[in-house]
Amino acid sequence: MHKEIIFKNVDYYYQHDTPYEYKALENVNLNIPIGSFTSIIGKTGSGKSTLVQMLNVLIKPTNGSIEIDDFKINSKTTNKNLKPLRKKVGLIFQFPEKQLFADSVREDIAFGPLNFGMDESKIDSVVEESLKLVQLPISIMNKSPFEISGGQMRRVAIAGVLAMKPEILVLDEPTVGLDPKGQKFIMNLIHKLHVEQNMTIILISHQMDIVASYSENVVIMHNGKVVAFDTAQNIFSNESLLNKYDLTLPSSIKFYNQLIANQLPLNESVPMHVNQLGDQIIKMFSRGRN
Amino acid sequence: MENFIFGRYMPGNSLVHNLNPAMKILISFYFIVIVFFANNYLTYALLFFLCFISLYLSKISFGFFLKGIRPLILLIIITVLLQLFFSAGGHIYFSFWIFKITSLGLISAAYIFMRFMLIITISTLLTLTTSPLAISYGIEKILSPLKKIHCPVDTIALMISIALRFVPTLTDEATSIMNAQRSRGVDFGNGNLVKRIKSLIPLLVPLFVSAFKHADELSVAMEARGYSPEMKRTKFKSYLIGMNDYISMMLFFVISLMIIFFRN
Ligand SMILES: Nc1ncnc2c1ncn2[C@@H]1O[C@H](COP(=O)(O)OP(=O)(O)OP(=O)(O)O)[C@@H](O)[C@H]1O
Ligand SMILES: [Mg+2]
Repeated sequence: MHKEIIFKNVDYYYQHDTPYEYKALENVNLNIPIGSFTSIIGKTGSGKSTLVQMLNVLIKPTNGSIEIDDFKINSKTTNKNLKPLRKKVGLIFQFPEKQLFADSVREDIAFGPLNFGMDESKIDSVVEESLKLVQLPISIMNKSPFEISGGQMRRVAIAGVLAMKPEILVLDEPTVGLDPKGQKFIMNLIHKLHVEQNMTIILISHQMDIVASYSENVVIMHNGKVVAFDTAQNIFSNESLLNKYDLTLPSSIKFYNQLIANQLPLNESVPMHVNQLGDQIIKMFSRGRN
Repeated sequence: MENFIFGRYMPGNSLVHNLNPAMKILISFYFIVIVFFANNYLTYALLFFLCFISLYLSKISFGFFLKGIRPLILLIIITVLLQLFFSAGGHIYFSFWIFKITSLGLISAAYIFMRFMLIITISTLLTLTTSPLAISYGIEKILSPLKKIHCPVDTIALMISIALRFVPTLTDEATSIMNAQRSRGVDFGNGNLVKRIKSLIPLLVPLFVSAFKHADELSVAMEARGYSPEMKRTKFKSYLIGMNDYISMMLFFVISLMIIFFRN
């Protein structure tokens, strides 16, 4: 068992060999550690979604290869026997509520597990367990997925992927279009899965506050290339790097920088989260008092 | 599927791209009609020559074009084979059970094949070089005499252009829904017929939901901006009829006269 997801010299062209050809990924080399929480950032159109779709062989690299566990994916990979890989890697797309289709919430959540050959007898407990994870009442099970609220639909769709019990969870902007409370809920859920079940998380997000607060590693993409891969701490300490790729600082660091600019003696590393910044400020004042 | 070009538009700036859309649509239909007048090799050669010139002037590469219409070849082959095996008459070369290959069968199969190629070439060329908006403009222009009998031509043209406008949106949507269901373990296009049809439900239900949502949102947005079907509308882009349009009309006309002259 490999300890990493390995991208080796991956190129990807949309509509290869036609006049519409578009190079979306160029020579991507990336090793994402299994068990880590890795975020992918980069401005719109930089190739983030293209990259993660390869983890489920929804598209295949035009050149190069990807290794996940014992699976090796390249341009010659056939479309047969992909189920074990797709079960292992759960993909939550942007606006996942668009994928709901069944007559009832229960049926929709059971859809994935049944496709992957789960026992009919275990389904009920799995559905209940997933609903509990996304904190929806069990009574919602028999409702139609089209008569619940948008936020609830999103949770049902996520529950449908979690029910497949993936080992690697890939999320493409899961919080977009939700209210702050809903965003926080989703992020805490992902964090919990990572910590309690040791799930590998790959997150695409444009919200730097979220990325900085939760991730261990950060990948920056720009024009189809991976231009940086480092720990969140290192990436967000490097303001010029972020500026170069049109990315903003998390608000905690912006505020921290202003305090530093005003000669406040915060001498610790940049805070990844507002709570961290709060702690630093409290410490500074208590140091001042002594 | 990605390479399939039938019905697609490819932006460009060639002589063919810049012809007046109404005229281009009329010429294409005219061409399809004269295809049925051709009945010997010389007349077919003239038509192929016309196709060749049009394709050349459109600056679309021949290789790309041929590759793009390849998926239609199967359809053509089946029709040609039917013609080949089941048309009677003339000298019999080969016969087996109910199949016969006859000299007349061979000739009519060849003709059918050529007709197909000609019609596919010209209609693909029409959509490749004419944007959806221009097509709806052209249809509106062609139908405009019907306004006299109170036919809502403007509304029909608007409906066509909205429908065409949403084709790419819906294909994108279909791709993203298919991807989402694939990663939930659906095997599209695998297994027996029942299984295949069943695997379409998780695609079609969300697709319809989103199509209705688009329609609903669009109609609200149009009403909010004061759209009323009775109002007279102006065009953002107007198309004139220029020298090139007259020349190409002449060319097609002359070739059709030659075909009537040379046919048996
Ligand atoms: N089906 C497609 N056909 C052709 N080009 C595409 C297709 N899908 C994406 N692209 C192009 O590939 C590039 C990368 O797209 P991708 O969706 O991976 O970007 P992204 O980083 O996810 O952007 P965003 O942050 O907006 O989601 C874009 O320039 C896009 O226009
Ligand atoms: Mg994206």
